[in-house]
Amino acid sequence: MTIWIIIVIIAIIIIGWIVIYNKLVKSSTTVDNSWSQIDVQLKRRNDLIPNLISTVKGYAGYERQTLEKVTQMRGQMIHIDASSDTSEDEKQKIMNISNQLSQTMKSLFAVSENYPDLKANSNFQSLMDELTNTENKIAYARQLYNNVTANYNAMIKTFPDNLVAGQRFTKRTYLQTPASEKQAPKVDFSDLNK
Amino acid sequence: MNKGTLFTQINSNKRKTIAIMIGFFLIVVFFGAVIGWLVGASSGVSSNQIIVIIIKVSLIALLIAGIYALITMSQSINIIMAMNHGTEIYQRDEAPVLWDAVTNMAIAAGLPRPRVFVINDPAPNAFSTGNTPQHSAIGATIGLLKSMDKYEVEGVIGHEMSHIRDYDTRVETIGIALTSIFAFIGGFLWRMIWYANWFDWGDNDDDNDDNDSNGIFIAIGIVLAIISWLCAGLCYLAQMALSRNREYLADAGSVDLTRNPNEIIRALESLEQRPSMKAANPSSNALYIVNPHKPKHHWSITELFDTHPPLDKRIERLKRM
Repeated sequence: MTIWIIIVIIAIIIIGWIVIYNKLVKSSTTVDNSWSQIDVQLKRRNDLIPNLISTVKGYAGYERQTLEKVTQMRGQMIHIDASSDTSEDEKQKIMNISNQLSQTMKSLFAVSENYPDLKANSNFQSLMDELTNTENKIAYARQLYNNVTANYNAMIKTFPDNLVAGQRFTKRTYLQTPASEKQAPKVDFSDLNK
Repeated sequence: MNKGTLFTQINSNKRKTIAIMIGFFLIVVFFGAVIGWLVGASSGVSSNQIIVIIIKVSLIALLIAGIYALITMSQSINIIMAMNHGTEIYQRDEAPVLWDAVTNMAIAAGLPRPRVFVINDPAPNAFSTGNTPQHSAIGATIGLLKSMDKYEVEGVIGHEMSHIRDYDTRVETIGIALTSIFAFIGGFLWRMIWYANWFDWGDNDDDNDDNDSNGIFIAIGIVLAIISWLCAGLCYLAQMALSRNREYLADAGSVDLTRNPNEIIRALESLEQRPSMKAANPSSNALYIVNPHKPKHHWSITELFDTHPPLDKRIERLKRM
């Protein structure tokens, strides 16, 4: 009689282990998936930037330094191949560059107020529209990533999932906005008269 | 919204759906069996054959119910959108603010983008439907898109997206389908009793043999019809109570997705002054963010029959969050 009880208990433990393991794998995959969502939006922004640069360059003397900065940062982003195997540090680096790019583009748009010809250009307007759209999507994708990461991190710590997780499933880091970049963008008017 | 525990809203809704469907099929079998018994007993065949007839009719009833369920589920989005006069849009240009709101909320919820519909009605409102988060749809009226700025629209769409994410739309859609089935069965049985009266099953000779139609069948038929209508009524009340609770949760879900409570608060405040919708089908009232057919009286007993909680309570709860 007792042998049957033992067998049933062992069966329950094995099934429970399998169920929890699958849950952890699914959660981990969801985190990877939401990173690729961010990646899609970053790439979309990268593709839009050359068009923006060429439209703006047509108006001579316009924020040459800012344009160069944007081009340079875009170059950095292109060179990083952000697949789902990217390490946590790499991901944070990518987001840092992306944040800087967002800030620089914000100041670019702000100063375009002073160039009515540029502002009236329909190509520039639609590009601004699309880029703002993409920035919003990046923000939401990042929010999603942090959300699912929080779920995953909680899952691997709670009982009894932590028994199954062990060393195989490790904590993921959140995508932070560094304190220095949380400041409002400094719009520099000093080189307007160049 | 910890997705790790057993008792999340999503799991609760999934369990409710399964319970509703099991209950539905059991009751269909029961009704089928009783009808089979009525038919068999009144045609004066032996009791063994009566059992065979009961089984046959039950299976037919089950088959019909099964086909009905499959068709409704697979076509639910198209059916409900047709009932509410929604036109699908396929490109961002057709309604950019709505398109962006739906796309962004889908990203924030980690779901594929639902189908987007526009309803030609000047009253502001929006609703969501669909069996699974992967096959879902959101519709908004022209009135909503005209009167709200893009942040308020995002708040409303966040609420709808939250319904989709929590499988509310599946439970509500099935609830609507099943309530109408009970009402239909009630009507069907009632009509059957009238015809049985006219045809007076059995012969009309003066002897008291097995061929006489027995008044007890008619009585049973009437009782079943009443039970069926009662079931429809209870289903309706249960639907209402559950629906109200889900509305509060979807409001909270909207804040979870947009991270800005003001978006949904401002949207709800502007919806307080809305007129009634003409294009909405009353049976799908529960799917909308606010009741498209405004109740005329505000006695507290009628709150039991409301699909949505009072707007001022919803706003108050959001402000307290």
